[in-house]
Amino acid sequence: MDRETLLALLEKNKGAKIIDIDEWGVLDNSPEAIKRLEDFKQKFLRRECFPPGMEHWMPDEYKDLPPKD
Amino acid sequence: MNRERYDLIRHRSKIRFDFFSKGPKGLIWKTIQFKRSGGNHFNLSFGDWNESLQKIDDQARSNNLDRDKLLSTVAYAVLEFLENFPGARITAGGSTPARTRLYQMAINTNWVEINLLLNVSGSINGIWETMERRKNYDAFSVTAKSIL
Repeated sequence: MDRETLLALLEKNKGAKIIDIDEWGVLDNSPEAIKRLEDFKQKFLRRECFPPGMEHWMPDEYKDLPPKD
Repeated sequence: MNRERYDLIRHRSKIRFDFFSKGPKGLIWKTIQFKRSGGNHFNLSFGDWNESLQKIDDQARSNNLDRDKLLSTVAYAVLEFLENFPGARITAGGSTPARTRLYQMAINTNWVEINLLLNVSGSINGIWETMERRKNYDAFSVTAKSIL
């Protein structure tokens, strides 16, 4: 996240006191953030986030779900 | 805590806050970070964000003539943090004597509100005690009172 992104967020949300952002520097509740999270969730469910052999890192609640595709 | 302060950007992890100090030296990127040191203990780091090194420069002295606003912003971030981590103990020890004084000023400036909401301890030569307003300490530690 860079200086310009943060300054733009502050300008756009002037007076907000607290501006919540996600890992990519966009507002937590923006359509972009929601889409990124949804994409990430799908990749997560397809085990694409884990290097081969490291699937055991997956949290228990997801382990019983069949891999998509 | 109704004093003038800067708008804060809070990261999803809720342990990092950023804001920009505004003054004669322009806009200076400041970062407040709560780093877990074990269990419920967190160390507060505060300073100028060094973009090229991607870390907080806690030695920097920007002198942007906005000290009180800066300190109220840090105090507000501490309260926000404790709302999300009510069991946390935050310790702040200055990287330099000047930085320790700054933390002490932050507590003194916002004493009424802080005392209402937080338990504040101060350390002198490694011995912790309930903080007294006019006494100088080497480090500070706060926890939320149960009303937060």
